Amino acid sequence: MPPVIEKEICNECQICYTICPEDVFCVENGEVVIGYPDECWHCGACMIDCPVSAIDLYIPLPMRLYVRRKEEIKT
Amino acid sequence: MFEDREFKSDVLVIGGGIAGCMAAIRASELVNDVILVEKCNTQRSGCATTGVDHVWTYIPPIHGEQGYTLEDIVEDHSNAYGGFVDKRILRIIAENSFGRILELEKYGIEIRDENGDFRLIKKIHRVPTFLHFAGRDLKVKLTKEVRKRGVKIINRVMATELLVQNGKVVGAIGVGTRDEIFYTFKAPSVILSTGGAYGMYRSPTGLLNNMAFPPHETGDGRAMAYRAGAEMVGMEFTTYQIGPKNFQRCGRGSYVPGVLVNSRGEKITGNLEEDLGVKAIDSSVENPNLFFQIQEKGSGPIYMDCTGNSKEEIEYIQWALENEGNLALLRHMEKSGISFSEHLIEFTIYEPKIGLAKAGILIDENCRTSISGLYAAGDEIGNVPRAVSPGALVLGHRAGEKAALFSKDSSIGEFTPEIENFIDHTRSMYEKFLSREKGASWTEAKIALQNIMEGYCGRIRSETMLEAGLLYLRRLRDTAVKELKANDPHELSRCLGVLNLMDCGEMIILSALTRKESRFALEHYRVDYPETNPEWDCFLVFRKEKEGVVFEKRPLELYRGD
Repeated sequence: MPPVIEKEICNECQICYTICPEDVFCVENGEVVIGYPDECWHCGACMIDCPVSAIDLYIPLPMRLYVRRKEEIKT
Repeated sequence: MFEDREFKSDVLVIGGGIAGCMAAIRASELVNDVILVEKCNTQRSGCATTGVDHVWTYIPPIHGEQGYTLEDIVEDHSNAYGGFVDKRILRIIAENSFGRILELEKYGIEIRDENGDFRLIKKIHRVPTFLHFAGRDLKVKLTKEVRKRGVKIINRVMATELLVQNGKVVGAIGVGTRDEIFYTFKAPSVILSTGGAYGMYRSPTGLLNNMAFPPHETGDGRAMAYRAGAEMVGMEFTTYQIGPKNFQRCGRGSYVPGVLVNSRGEKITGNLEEDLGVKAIDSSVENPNLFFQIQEKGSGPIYMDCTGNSKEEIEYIQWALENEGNLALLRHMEKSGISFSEHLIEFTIYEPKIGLAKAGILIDENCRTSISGLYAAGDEIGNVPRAVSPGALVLGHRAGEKAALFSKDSSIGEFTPEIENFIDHTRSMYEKFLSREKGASWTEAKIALQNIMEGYCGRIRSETMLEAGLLYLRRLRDTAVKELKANDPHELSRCLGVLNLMDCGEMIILSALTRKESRFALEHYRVDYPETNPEWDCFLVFRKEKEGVVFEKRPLELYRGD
């Protein structure tokens, strides 16, 4: 469920629903819900445009970066 | 059942990315009624959805001073793409991009640094020509400008077919992506600016929409133009992008001055900063062969290494990435305790794509396609590879101007019975998708397409495999039309997007079959014709006719303009 809306903070302006390029948000009974979680592109547009910073992105396990510390590289 | 809506305008722009917005802005200065129809919302859509941090440009007072001429940049750019470049159009982009950038500055986009200087980076041209700027909210600001000029923006509508009668475009049809509405647009000129064709090949992460480029760009313009019989070019060349493994994102150029290293920490590319004294990463990383070779030699994985960079340099990388639409990636790093100063980030090569490259609609210097009244700009076009943001700015603006001038001198009457029949037929096909009790989902169709493209038209191509792939793909498309089921308008637009990707896939396979040679490393590798053959130093142009698809070799000389 990639975009996560903090309901306590959300002011129900629906900007996320208005701008999402992948159209993952839906409005049900006046409330924004994540209708198509699997279609999130993780672009962060909702995060950027949310006026009260109520949105965070959940990053699915297969998307998480592979990294190594410098000392973990055998030179 | 669909509700019907009809619109009439002087100019219809399809796709509101950078090119579409620029087209609408310019057209609205010349004619009264301009409609911009957008599948998403123009504030956040297209390749610049959450930002673009660079635009290559020729700045006369800076580059001229260095003795670098306009012809030099045209030459460098053409050389970087093996001469498969329409120099006439490239010259226009190079000449006008700085002017367009100054307009962006007027729209409130921060182009210069705090000292009023341009941040210029050296990449594929001999001198620093890549201008870095704060482009995170470029689309929001462009949208304001479009609205200010009285353009009617219709968001959440996917244009699906062009209407062409007697060889001339007369409008388009489309569907709402949130409401069951069928749209008919009537206009003497139409501009296609729908971006690239992404998603024909599978993301190696197994997640459907985890890709470097926007999943909503499903080759709609290319597919519509192809079905309407417009000339297309270079669809055999599928290109690759590199970036962080797993979190697939473009913006490799923003990691300046980080370097790519192999598993032993050794630099795998030349470093232009050392060689030439400029801050840049070597453009040779765009050679997918090099990237695969390192892994195949047993010295992978490959990492982006910024650990040797100063605090200021790392802050600059983060600034650039945020403006290049990578804020979500940065947030993920922060939350996971990953830092550029301590960690090497694995990089990889992503799945093939059509976009930013030598593959798309063929246009002339006035952005005209081969169909009268039909124009194209931005990532839609095939004869200027890596035209990218300057291409979108300049050609978008130009297409808007030329289309508006065309509309001034033409009018359209009633639709012919053939067009009316075509509209009815298409409308009822979409209604079937929406009304089926059971059927196949768009995700099934997309995976089935990806299986064919990867299995039969991937890194290694041959006549027998391509022929088989073409047969299976055409059958898949027929089956999809008969079986696809959409639960709502959102899913309907997804279904139609996959059908467009299938048509793009067909164009790739047909072109790959026709070009009997190998060229540009993995962009087109035919195991049965492994060498590059000078006889194929030409654009491969094609168009769909009643009897089938007709191919034609066009000498590159025709496109040099010298």
